Amino acid sequence: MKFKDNVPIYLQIKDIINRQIIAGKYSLGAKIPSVRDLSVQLGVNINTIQKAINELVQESVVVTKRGLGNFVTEDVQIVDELKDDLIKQTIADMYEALTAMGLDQGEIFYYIKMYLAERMKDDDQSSTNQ
Amino acid sequence: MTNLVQINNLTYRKNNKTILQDVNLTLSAGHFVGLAGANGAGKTTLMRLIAGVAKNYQGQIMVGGSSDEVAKKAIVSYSDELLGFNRQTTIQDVVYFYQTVYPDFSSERYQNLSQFLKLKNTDRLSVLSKGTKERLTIALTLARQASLYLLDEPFSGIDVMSRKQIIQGMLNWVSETATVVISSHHLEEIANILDELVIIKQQTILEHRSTDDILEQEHLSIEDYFESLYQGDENYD
Repeated sequence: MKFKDNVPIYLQIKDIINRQIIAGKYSLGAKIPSVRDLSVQLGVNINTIQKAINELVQESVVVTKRGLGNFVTEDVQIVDELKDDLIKQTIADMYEALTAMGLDQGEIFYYIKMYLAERMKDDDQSSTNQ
Repeated sequence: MTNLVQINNLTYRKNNKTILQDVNLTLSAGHFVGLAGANGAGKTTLMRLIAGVAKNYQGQIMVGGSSDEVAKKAIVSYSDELLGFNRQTTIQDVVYFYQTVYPDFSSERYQNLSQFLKLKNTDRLSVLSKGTKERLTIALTLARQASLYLLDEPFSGIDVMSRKQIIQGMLNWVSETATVVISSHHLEEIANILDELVIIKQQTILEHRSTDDILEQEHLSIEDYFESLYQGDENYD
């Protein structure tokens, strides 16, 4: 696993787990791999995994069942909020990057519209070609 | 909670040369600790002192609450120990030696590790490549159920795949309550698995900090942070 080298690893692990949950790879109520398995899988030590899990438990995204392990929350609302946050964050990152290039809001809106129009056309073509 | 390693006012001289001066260091159980410093800063010496291999120091080195050398050796697994064997010795014989000498050496664990690290019991030391020797050393070191593992440059000159295997082996096999100290010239190789960083400079400990703290406070990668502390120093290599 490749990590950014200037961001605490446990925050990056949290992000990975959150994205797995949002994408449905870890479904509602499903068991998350053990701390040891995640440690070997991701190539970081168990304290780092545990720290990430602890924060996810505090944020109610993950529930620890004593003796059984860690599970994704069964509360769909929490996962919806998580997804909403991640979408907003992704757009905010893009907005910051474009603003840093000197684009104003009108230009950003224009380029996004153009891009979406092109993507829709492409997707349309590829589906009629099939 | 008692500290696993407690070093107070340690000074070590060899041949009238000061190697370490006024070292104070506390390590608790269950952590991965990186030991960084330029060549000759004293990393290997510090490990040898903690392991009880180097003697005649001033100050206090307590491991598991004891300063007794025999007690230290019982709970410290130190990596630099293939040196004493004849080149014609087979891996099997080395393993047998470890079983005899260390009561906490687990044959089952060694077999698992050696399988994982692709070591052949019938091979003689003379035919092993550098990378294979490193893997053997790691397998022997980790097959002990020690409280403290000291790994001195475990990845020097070995390929990326072997390094990944060794790191996986460590993550898989080290008990949650054990502490692993790893020295490396290439911090980026081990940064992902470290809880703490200890930096040695000018014969003493310059910094001892949690890696999360470095990343959160300094916004620098671990190796950039290390380099920033060595910057402007003539001895930096």
